[in-house]
Amino acid sequence: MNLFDELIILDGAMGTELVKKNAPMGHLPEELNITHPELIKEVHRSYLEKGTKLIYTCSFGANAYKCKGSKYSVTEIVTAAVKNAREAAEPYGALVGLSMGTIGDILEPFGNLKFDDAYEMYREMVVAGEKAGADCLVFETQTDLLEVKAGVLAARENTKLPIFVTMTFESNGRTFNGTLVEAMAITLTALKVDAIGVNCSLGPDELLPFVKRMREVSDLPLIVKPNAGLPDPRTGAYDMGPEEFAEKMVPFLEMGVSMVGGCCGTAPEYIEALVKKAKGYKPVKPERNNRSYLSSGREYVDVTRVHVVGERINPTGKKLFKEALLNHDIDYVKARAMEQAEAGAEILDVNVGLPKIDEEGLMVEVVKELQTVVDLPLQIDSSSAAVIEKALRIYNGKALVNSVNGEEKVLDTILPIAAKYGAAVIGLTMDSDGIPESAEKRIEIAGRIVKKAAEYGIEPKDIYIDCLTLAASVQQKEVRETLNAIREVKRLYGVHTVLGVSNISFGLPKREYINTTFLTLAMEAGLDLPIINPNNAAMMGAVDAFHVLWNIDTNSTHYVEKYAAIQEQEKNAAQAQAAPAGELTIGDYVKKGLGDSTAKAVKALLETKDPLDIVNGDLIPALDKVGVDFEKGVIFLPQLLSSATAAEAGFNVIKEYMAAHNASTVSKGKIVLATVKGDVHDIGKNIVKTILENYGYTVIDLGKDVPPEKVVEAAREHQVKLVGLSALMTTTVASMEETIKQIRAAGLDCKVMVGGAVLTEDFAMQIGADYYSKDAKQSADLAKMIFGE
Amino acid sequence: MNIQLDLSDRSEILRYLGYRGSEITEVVEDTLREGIELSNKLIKIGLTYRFFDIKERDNGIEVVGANFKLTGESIKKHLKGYDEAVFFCLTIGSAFDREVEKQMVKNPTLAVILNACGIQAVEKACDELQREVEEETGLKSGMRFSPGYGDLPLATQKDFIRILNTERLAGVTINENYLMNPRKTVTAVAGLKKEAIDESV
Repeated sequence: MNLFDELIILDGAMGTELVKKNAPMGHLPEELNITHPELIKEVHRSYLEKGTKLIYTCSFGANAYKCKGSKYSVTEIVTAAVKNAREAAEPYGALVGLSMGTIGDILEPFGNLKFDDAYEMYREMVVAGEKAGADCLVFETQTDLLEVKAGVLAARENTKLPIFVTMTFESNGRTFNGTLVEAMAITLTALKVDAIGVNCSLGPDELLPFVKRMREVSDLPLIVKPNAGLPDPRTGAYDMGPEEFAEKMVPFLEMGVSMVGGCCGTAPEYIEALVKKAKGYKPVKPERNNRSYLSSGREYVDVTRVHVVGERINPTGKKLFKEALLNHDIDYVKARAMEQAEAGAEILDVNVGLPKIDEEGLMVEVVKELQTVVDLPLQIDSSSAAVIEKALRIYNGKALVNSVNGEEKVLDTILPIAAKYGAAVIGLTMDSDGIPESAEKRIEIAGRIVKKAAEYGIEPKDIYIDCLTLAASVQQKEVRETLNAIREVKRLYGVHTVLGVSNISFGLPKREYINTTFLTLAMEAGLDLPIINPNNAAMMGAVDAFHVLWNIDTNSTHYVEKYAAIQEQEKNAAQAQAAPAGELTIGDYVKKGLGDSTAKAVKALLETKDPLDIVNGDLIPALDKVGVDFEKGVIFLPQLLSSATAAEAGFNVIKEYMAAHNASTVSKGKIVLATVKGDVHDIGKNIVKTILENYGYTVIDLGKDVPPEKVVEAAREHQVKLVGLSALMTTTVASMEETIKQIRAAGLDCKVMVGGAVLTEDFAMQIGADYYSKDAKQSADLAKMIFGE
Repeated sequence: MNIQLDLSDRSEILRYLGYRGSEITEVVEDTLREGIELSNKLIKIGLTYRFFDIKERDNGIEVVGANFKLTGESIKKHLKGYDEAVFFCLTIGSAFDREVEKQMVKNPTLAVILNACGIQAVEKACDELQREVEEETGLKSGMRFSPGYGDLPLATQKDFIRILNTERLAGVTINENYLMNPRKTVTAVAGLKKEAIDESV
């Protein structure tokens, strides 16, 4: 099917038509396909008679999650739905699309639906649909781009049918789940589905700008299936009649979309009116879009100027980062991501490679978790093809892969993976012979990469060539070669460029001078994505200044806004500094929740005092004091937490000091914390974690919805003496009990403390816990008792 | 509907945070203000509601034409004397959850304050909805009652989600443990009548 040949008229609403025909509406209307096939066919025919050329089956909610409790299987319902549609469509020579709505549960990490389970549920539907004779697969009314990706992969890997996706947007141009129109279009275009578009939620007027925005970033055929205007929330009636609806659809026809129909509130008369209006219109194939986009599941980057790639999520040479990975401290990684986003990074490199670590598992988890706290596209950085594939599979958006090089074997392993998941690729200009000295050689390797990528269907615009930085202290002559190569590869191949910058100054003093100057030269040569530490103000300043001088930051708007504020802040800080310091102690700062002052005071104390003495003599007693106040009800939770975070700022100074002085880090013992299986509310557990960490314990945080086996495994692996379990709902206390049982059965020598809104001391004992902890303060007391002071 | 929090909500927010009248530090006071401001940027109300006739039955309340029943003594008592009720689902949206999650890593104090602001926002929005319903219908609304209150099974949540078509209309889904997503969401039923009924008895 060439979707740019003919305009295809789709159908209108199914549900309301069934209600009009007095269909018995039970819990699952899709069952009507089996119990009342004639009714379904009647609705299909009512649209076909008016001129619909592609009908959607009545199988919107026929997935395993929504069919639970039905006496029919998913396969039975889907098969019947396709059969009914086929029989109705046949006499009209019309096509049949298998309709698939959302699963109805939320994907991890916000919900507890696993990506693989979502995949499996869609697989079941698409396989049955293809077998029963559907002509295409339609994912519609979708709100979560990652769920769509699971569906698209299931369709791609198990059927040969064309894939259409329409998502549902709110008035702010985002789905309920937060996906921006562009992020959706970019991701699905990269995944090479056959058509994309919008359906439901709004009327034609409101959807028009969204469809135009899709056209801006995608050259795929477009589908438009709006509601009949907006509903009256009370009666549910929509405000547009057939003629008005059809009239409002004209702008879509004029812009050349490929498929039009209606959603909620539309009926056969609407399609009839639409068919009349649509006479003479044909789809318009857009010009090839030559821009490179990267996207997350929510936002996107249109690579048209310099965009900073944050390099800080990488354990290489970072002791605390390494330790965090070994202790499974995902929050540490998340904090680094947020820090970089705030500092102005627009893409984040993610590398979690360490010897003897499950890089695959960790990468998947980190990628999943990062997406909950940052909206930036990610750059998946690993030397292992398996790790890259696993990460790309569950990544929500269009990622950048770091990296391939000129080696045939590497190209043939990584490029097909990038192509399959629609990722852009970084190509290093080196091969098995190492990094060539001359620009010419590097350009030649870039050429090889571009050629090979084309074989796998990756366009030059999505290739980011890294011309490689060599240390000026060692290979001074070759610095210019890198710059020349950047200029040339862009000119010759139409690729983009990326470059790790700070290597240039290796071995030289005052590295910032060299780094900043080299970065500036590279930008002038055409560097698109510098990989740098965005927390470095001078480097970020160079990027911002470049955008001013190159007339990209029009009227210097961004520059002025950013730096006027910074200037002001610096002035205020200087004044604050000048104010006389009071006679306050660490205890006072912690009590007041003043993190910066605590950190400063700790720094000052380190001049004269042993770090561990500061922990035991200043920080912990300060925390104890607020803890007692909290117990007595003198202070309330936010105050306890703000004191704990202030103390944390102090601890961080100590940790950094000890890491820098090669001392073993301060830890009073390891504790595993988890919110039990089935429970996705983990604010309570997180509060406990904050407090425990600030008492100097190392917390292995397993997150939420944690299966019992995982708790046992972590407790064993880290040989912990204490496990803390949290459950919020009565429904999930059962899995808490099960977790305790399994810990006991594994014969682990550890105590279990439990907490949560619905628990009591008695209840805790009943399910076999050692301790009940009524709040965060008590969990710290219990830890103290178990580990000793 | 557009709901904003302001200083008049402060005492309720503090109550959700377990405040019992001590002196509040400057940092926490600032964070409270920040939480309220941030909440106002994040709140995006999703809403769906429907009216049903209701009938008292032996083991609960029949929802006429909706193919389900509200079971138990509590709901029976709560809706005694009403022949009509409004069923609704109201959420402040998923962006709120995301921010709480984010702040839990960055600034836990702000995270718990935001969480409390979320509870207050959703309650305030429910009050506003009930007020609008009264205005629209000219009827008096009784107090709202949600699945899981008293002996009304939490599982009834599933029926609310279904009859209100919440997934499509408000972006609200439910998992196997009857937890709703987004988290700051309320489903409830409230009786409607010409004259207000004193429910305190």
